Amino acid sequence: MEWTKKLTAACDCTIKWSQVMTTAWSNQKSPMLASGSVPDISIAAFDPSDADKVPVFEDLNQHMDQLPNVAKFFKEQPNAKKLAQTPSGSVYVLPSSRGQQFYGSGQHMLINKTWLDKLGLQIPKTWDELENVLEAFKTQDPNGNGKADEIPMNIKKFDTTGFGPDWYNTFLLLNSLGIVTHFNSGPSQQGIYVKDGKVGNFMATDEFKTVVKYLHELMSKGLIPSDALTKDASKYNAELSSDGKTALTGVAFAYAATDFGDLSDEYVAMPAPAGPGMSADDVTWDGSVETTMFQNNKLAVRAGDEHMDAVLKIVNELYDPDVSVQQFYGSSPEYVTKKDDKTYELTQKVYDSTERVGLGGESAAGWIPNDVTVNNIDYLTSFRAADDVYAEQYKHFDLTKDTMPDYVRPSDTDSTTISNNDTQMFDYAMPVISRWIVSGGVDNEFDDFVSKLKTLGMDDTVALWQKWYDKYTK
Amino acid sequence: MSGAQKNTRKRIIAGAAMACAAATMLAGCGSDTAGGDKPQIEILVVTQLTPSPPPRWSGPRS
Repeated sequence: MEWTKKLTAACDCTIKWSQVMTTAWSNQKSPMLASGSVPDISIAAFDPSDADKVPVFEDLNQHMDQLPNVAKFFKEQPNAKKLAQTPSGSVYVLPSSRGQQFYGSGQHMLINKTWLDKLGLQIPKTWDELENVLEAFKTQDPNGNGKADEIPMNIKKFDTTGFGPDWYNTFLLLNSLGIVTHFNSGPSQQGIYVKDGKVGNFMATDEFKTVVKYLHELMSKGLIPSDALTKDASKYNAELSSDGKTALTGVAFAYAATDFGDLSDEYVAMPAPAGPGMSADDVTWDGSVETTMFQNNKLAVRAGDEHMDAVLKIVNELYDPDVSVQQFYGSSPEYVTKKDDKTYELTQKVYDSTERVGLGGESAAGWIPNDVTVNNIDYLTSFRAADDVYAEQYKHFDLTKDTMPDYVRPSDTDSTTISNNDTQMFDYAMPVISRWIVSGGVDNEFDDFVSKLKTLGMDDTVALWQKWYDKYTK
Repeated sequence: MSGAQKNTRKRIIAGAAMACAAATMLAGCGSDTAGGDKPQIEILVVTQLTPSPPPRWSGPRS
């Protein structure tokens, strides 16, 4: 049965569906919240911070006995529950989970394996080995075209607002020194890190200085292009895919081999190489591993709804695993084949369709349990090939003690303070960091840099994040 | 909910909302007929129209 029909069967009601495009919703959300008039059920429309501001949503935590599928979801994935839960335990907006297949960071370090094989080299395990490999890429014409056109290591221009929003920041190399980044989301993009429960800003650490020095060394030796920090993203991306025949790039941070277009077969992900003095057992990788699994803004119910029983039956049915799979990927049997209770497969019609056939991770409000597998998801193949390489390094840290979990949510007031401080800090910091990488000088200027960041609010920001980290995790 | 509130919401989403029958991703949702005294539940879904599946599902959290 198509999943929408299962909902009406479960609630013994009729359902009036309204669908709004994401682009239009950005203009409609605030007026709807201000009006206090929200639909019986909203999907992918509101997030927990909206519920903090306007008391128009039902606390679903009080209805868990009528939501057994949601209760099972929260039992299996306590961090997903925390994404939705207020410090007092209320749950106004339910999250979703796409299941274990989506566990992992979206950011990886890719290397041209074809070049390595041609030159008889191994995947580098340390920074020294990486530098030697890059030197070979630069001097030994691994793409075989007779030109010295190889880009041994390509890095992206920095965002002006920190280390994140545009992804694939080269400071992922902090993981080589045991500082766990969380660059898919959250305050790690503004330098916040956590080590054994203590919050800090990595821009003030020796590890940060060490990465800057290493990048400068690589750039000064021509192993990173001298214009890397000024060239447009479009040029960077064009260099990754090259002409589809002759690769130009040796090493780059990217999502997966598919970022290299027709040359994707030449690339593999590599674990973070160990920095100076680091044991391989202490090297980590980006801790944004649950950000792609969970979404925190998936389902809200109007407070005091006059048909609450029917509404709760619909909500519970949406979180049924079978309904959830169909929500994410498309209705069964046309787009999804159920092989057995734990195994599904997308049909070819998913890929033949010119329209979107499922709500996808952006909109589906559901729960795919960890023991359910959905086969034939083409974009998962490249993701898993890249991310599985980091399985060992993911074991080298604790998600709660060594990262800022996505569920830690400062108050509006503190968020404003943090945002203002961050703006001041990064207006100053990013040009300085870029200059260090291009021209050097970090050793002489680092102490003054840290002092300046303190005057711009770094310590206050760290203290606020520590306060909210403690509130949510202890 | 008052009638005035419902009208406000209708105005807010008018123009951008589409009936479910037109959306492949909500296949089948338009086939149920309103029945007698059964309650009617309104569900709003905010979606993207980009082809499925997306080339990359991750990104900064909204």
